[in-house]
Amino acid sequence: MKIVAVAACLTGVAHTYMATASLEKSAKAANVEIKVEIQGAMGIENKLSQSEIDEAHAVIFAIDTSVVGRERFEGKKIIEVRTADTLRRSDEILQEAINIGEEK
Amino acid sequence: MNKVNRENIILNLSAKTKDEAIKKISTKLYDGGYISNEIDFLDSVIHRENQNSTGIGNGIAIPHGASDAVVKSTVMFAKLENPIDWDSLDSLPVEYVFLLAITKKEHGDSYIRVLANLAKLLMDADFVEGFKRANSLEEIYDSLNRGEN
Repeated sequence: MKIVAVAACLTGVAHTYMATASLEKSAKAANVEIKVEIQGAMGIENKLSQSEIDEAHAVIFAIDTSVVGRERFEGKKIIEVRTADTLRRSDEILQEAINIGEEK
Repeated sequence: MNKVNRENIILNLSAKTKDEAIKKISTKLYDGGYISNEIDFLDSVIHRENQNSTGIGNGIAIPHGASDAVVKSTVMFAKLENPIDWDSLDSLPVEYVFLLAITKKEHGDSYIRVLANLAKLLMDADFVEGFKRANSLEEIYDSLNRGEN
């Protein structure tokens, strides 16, 4: 199971990074591979390649703003939440992503 | 680079509301020369706060403002004398406040990376336990900067 995510908040310093840490922590606990692209105040970090996106079984957008390069994810199964949601229930969100990733 | 400077740690801050807490901590930022204008900075923090609360749960809040009034990016840490309501994600009152001041300069400054790492660390239970268990300014300073070279 491979999951990719994008984290982005309004200021791009606090919630973006907290969301990233939460999702990475949940993924580690669930033993699932995740890569989180950070779209923050310092630009784009940990950028997802198109092949990483293509290979992913599911996508999580943890965003309070728009995703830069959203067209890269066209046709993917996407779960979209606010950054704060990942602070409250990142395990659940990850599980939802796993569930949709497992669907044929 | 230190995450939190020693002089940016406030113990037993007395405040009845989150607005009062943010205002009092902002005054310290002004006194420290980190912001050039308190009102402009406060506007940016309150504006952000009104979009959704920065009470991240677990007794912690991380209010922040990005403003032209920020001379150099930094963070102030305050332990409140009494926990106050912050409209937090878990509805619990807040006792620990990290107020981030973020420059709006086009390419930011090197401290923004430190602030981002700090935000990430707030998701780490050991890090959080460290500053919650600390009793003195020195212990808080050490716990917040643990692992820094």
